[in-house]
Amino acid sequence: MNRKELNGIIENYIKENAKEFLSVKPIVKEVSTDITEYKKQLKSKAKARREKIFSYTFVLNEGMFKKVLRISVSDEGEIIKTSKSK
Amino acid sequence: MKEITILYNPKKLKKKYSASFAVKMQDILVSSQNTLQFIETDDSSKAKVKDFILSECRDSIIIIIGGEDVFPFEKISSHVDDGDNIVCTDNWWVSSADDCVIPEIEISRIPDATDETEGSFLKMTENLFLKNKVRANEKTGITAEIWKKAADEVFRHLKAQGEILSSPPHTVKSKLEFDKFEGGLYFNLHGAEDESGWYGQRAKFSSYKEEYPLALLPKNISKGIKNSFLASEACFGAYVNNKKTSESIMLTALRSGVSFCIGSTATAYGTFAPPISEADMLVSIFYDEFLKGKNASLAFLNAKRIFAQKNIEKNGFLDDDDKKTLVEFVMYGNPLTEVDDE
Repeated sequence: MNRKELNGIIENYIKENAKEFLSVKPIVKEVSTDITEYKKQLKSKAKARREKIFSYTFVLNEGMFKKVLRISVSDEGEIIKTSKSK
Repeated sequence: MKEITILYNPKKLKKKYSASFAVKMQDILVSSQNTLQFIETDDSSKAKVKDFILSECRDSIIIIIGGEDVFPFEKISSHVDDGDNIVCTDNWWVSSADDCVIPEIEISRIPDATDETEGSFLKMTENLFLKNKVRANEKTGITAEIWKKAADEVFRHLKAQGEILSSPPHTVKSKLEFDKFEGGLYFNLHGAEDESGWYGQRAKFSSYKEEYPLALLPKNISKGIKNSFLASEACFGAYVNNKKTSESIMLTALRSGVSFCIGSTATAYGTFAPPISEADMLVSIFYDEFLKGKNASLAFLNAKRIFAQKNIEKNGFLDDDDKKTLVEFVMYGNPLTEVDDE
C-alpha cells in the first residue's frame, strides 16, 4: 500500500474516532521493527514483523492540556495500535 | 538479603546541604540492615560508575540520593514527536543498551524538593526506611471520567477492597479524606510539567460541564495515610524538578505515609478502554508482580521487562510510545517495600 492510501486509512480513522484532530497535520515516521537487541536482553523468541510500520502522531495544543494521538499502521493498512496522551 | 548500592554526588550534596550530609545519610541507610555500598559519582565519573554497576552490581538494588538539584536525572530525547524536548529517566544507570529502554537492575530514587532542608530530607529518608512493609488489603484512587473503563481494568489488578472515584464528578472541592487509609493509591488523571495538581476529564457524552476539573492537590494526601504505596499515570506525575514539596503530589506523598511511588516524568500514554496498553499496562503488571510478594523495585523491574516482552511478542516490534513508557516511568522511595501478609 502506498503512502497516499495509508494516509487515507488514517484520515478515515480520524473522521470516525477522533474528529478533534481533523485539522492537525500528523508527523509520520517509520517505526523500527528491529527487535534483535531486545530479544537478547529479554531472552525472547518473539518474531519480528516483516511489514513496514508507520506511526502517525497528532499533537493538538489547544485547551489546558496538550492532546497527543498516536496511530501505528502497517504498510498493508492494518491499524496495529492507537494511544492517547494522559 | 539484597545488597544496596547507594549513588550520590558528594559535591552537590555538600553545596545544597552540608559537608557532613553524606555521612548522616549513610548512618540512616545503614540502619536498613542490608549490606550497603556507597558510590560517589559526578559528571566526570558517571560512565565508569555505570560500567561498574552493570558488571558488579547486577544483584544489587540501586538507590539514587536526591532529585534534580543534587543528582540530576539523565535526559534523553523523547521517542515520540509529542513536543517533550527531553525525558528524565533513571533507566540509563541500569541498562547496557544505548537506548536505555530495557532496565536490567532494580533502581529507585529518594528525591528531594527545592525547599528541602538537610533535616527534612534526612527525616523523610529515615521514615521511608523505618520499615519495609505496606498493607495491600485496601485500595482507592481517582480516574478521569473519560478513562474510567481502562482505569477500572488497571484497578482490578490491585486485588483489595475499595473504590475508584471518577472525575468529574469528583473535584478537589469534594470531601476527600484518607483517614487511617493503608493500602494502594491509584491515579489515572491528567498532569502537566508546571502543575502541582492532577486533573480529571469529562467523558465524551458526559452530563458534566467542566472539561478538566482539578481532582487532586498535594494537600489532599498530606494527612491520614500510612503503610501505603502510590501509582500514577498522569503526564509528568513524577516530574519533581524545580518543585517544592507543596507543589508535588509525589514529594508530599513520600512524607505522608506512602513508602514508594511510581509515575512518569513526561507525557504518558494509554487508551480509553481495554485492551489496555502503555501506562495502564505497565501499572497493571506492576500490581501483579508486587502482590505476588516481590519487593517494590523488583516488581517494577519485572513489570518493565514483562511489558516489553508482551509487546514484542504481540506486535513483533516495540512501538515508540512503548519505549517512551519504559524510560519515563520511575520509582521514588523505599525499594525494599513488600506487602505485609499479616
